[in-house]
Parts: sequence; structure tokens; C-alpha cells
Amino acid sequence: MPPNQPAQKTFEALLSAYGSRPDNWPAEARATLEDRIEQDPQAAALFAREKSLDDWLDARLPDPSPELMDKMLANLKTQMRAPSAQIVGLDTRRQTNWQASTFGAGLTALTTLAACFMAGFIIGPLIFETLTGAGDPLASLEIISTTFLPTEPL
Amino acid sequence: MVTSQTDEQLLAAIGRGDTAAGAEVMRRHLGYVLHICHRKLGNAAEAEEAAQDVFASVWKSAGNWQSGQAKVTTWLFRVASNRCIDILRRRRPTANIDDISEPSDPSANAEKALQVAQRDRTIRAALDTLSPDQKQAIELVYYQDLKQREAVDNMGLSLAALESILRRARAKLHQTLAAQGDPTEMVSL
Repeated sequence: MPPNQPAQKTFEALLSAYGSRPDNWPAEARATLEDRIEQDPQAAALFAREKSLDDWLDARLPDPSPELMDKMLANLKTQMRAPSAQIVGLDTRRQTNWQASTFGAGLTALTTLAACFMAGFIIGPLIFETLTGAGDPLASLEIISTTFLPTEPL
Repeated sequence: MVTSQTDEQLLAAIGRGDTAAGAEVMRRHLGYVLHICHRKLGNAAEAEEAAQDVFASVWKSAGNWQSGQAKVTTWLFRVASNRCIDILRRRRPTANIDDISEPSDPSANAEKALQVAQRDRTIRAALDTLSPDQKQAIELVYYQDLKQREAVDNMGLSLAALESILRRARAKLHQTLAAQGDPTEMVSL
């Protein structure tokens, strides 16, 4: 065994502590460790064993940043407070809907009434003219009053 | 105790306004959702944006979750995929939807994503079996790529003590690995 090669025990100790990544090995031992793995089957087998553990450890997903966690926890708390606000909002919407429907009904009634008045002003004289043959709409009032109201004092 | 509840139980609790349940769902699945989004979108900023939208959707819909319909992880996968498609459309509004939509069998990708998530949970559970010193040593040297000098300074140990801790930690993880069967077959997503 070359005198500058680490002893087997030292080789195993380094590999079992630092694993298969050469960057993790002590700088002064890196070159000789690499040579040993290349030349010695037993060393290569030990290296492969440590590499399997490293590959497994590498499968751990990265931890989210603390800033992201804080932001998301804040969002969570906001969202958890939101349900009560949503309930209040629902009651407000119900009240608004009732008011809207009442207002709408009233508006419809007024519009209908106005339309009736307009129709009356337009159609009334035409009916009068048809019935009396006269062009004076006010004459209809005299006819009504003489027809339906007593002419002699009571 | 939220950590012992199933995902479905946690969703029901979220529907009742349980913030702790929501935090537990995030702890379990945020890494998985981020992984999906990062694979689909290719950059961390949009992946985080998508993940936030996914969990906002979870908070809103949790109360309506019906158990037995699907696995929660499958549902998360679908929500995440759809959100990523929306973001990709925003990037390329004239792109053909077939170029950016799910492949013909989305359940295959959902199943692989689930395996990735399960493997992540297994590894984290194995790391949780280590002593605090062992876990910290693995985190510093393996996951954070600190050099030996930086790790010993961080932990306040000698180099020999650090190496001893690392050896015991890795030996314990080897035992867990052996108990998993043959987990060296990697699942790519």
C-alpha cells in the first residue's frame, strides 16, 4: 500500500462521516480517496453504499422559505376570519333584496298609474267624441251631470 | 392533536375555522405543492405565487371536502396543476392549450407526485428519529453544504466530535434505508 494512502479504517471513517460527495471530504484527503475508489473494489462498494444513502437524502423536497410560510399563515388567518364577514354580507344582501323588490313593485305601480292617466287623457276625448259627436270634451261633464245628478233641488 | 389527524380530518377542521389544522396542512403539503409548481413553471417566484393560490383555494373549499372522493394529495396536485396552467397561459396567451395542458393521463403524474410526497415524508420522519445533534450535523453538512470548519464553529464542537456525530447519524439512516426495502429506485416527476 502506498505510504500516502489513508489506511482502510481512515478511509471508511471519512466516507461513513461525509458520504459520497467529494466536496464534503476534507480537502487534503480528496484526491487519495478518489484514487482509492477507482482502484479498490472494496472501496468502490463502500462508496456505492454511501451514495445510495445520499441519493435517498437528496429526494427530500426543499423547505419553503420562512417568508413564504409567514405570508401563507397570514393569508390563512385572514381567510379564517372571512366566514363571519361573509355571514354579515349575506344578511345585508337579503335586506337589500327585500328593499329592492318593494321599491321595484312601487315603481311599477306608479308607472302603471301614470300610464293609465296618460291613456285617459288621450283616449277620453276620443270616446266623448264618439258618444256625443261633439268636439268639446267639457260637454261630457254636463251630460254626466244631467244624466246622473238630480236637476231639481232636493 | 393536529399532527395525528388525517388529511381529511384536517380539512374538516379547517372548514370549522381551525387555524392550527390549516397550519398543519401547510406543514405537510407545502413542500410538495411547491415542488409541483416549480417543476411546471421553472422559477421559484411564480411557484410561490401559485402555491399561495393553491392553499387559498384549500382554505375556501376545505369545508366542502367530501371524504372518499379522492386523496387530498391528488386533489392538491390537480389544483396546483390548474393554477400553473393559468400562469403559463398568462405568460403565453397565444400558445396552443395542448402545449401547456396536462398530458393525456394526468392521474399518472398525480401518482408520481404522490410518490414524491410520500418519499419526502419518509425522509423527514427518518431524520426526526435522529438526536438533535445528529440532525443538526446532517442539516449543516449535507443539506446546507457547510464545510467542516463552518459546521464545527456553528455547533461549537471539535472536528473529531462532528465526524463521530455524522457517522452515527448516517449509520442510523442506513438502518432506516434498509428497512425501506430498495428506495434507491428514484421516482422522477
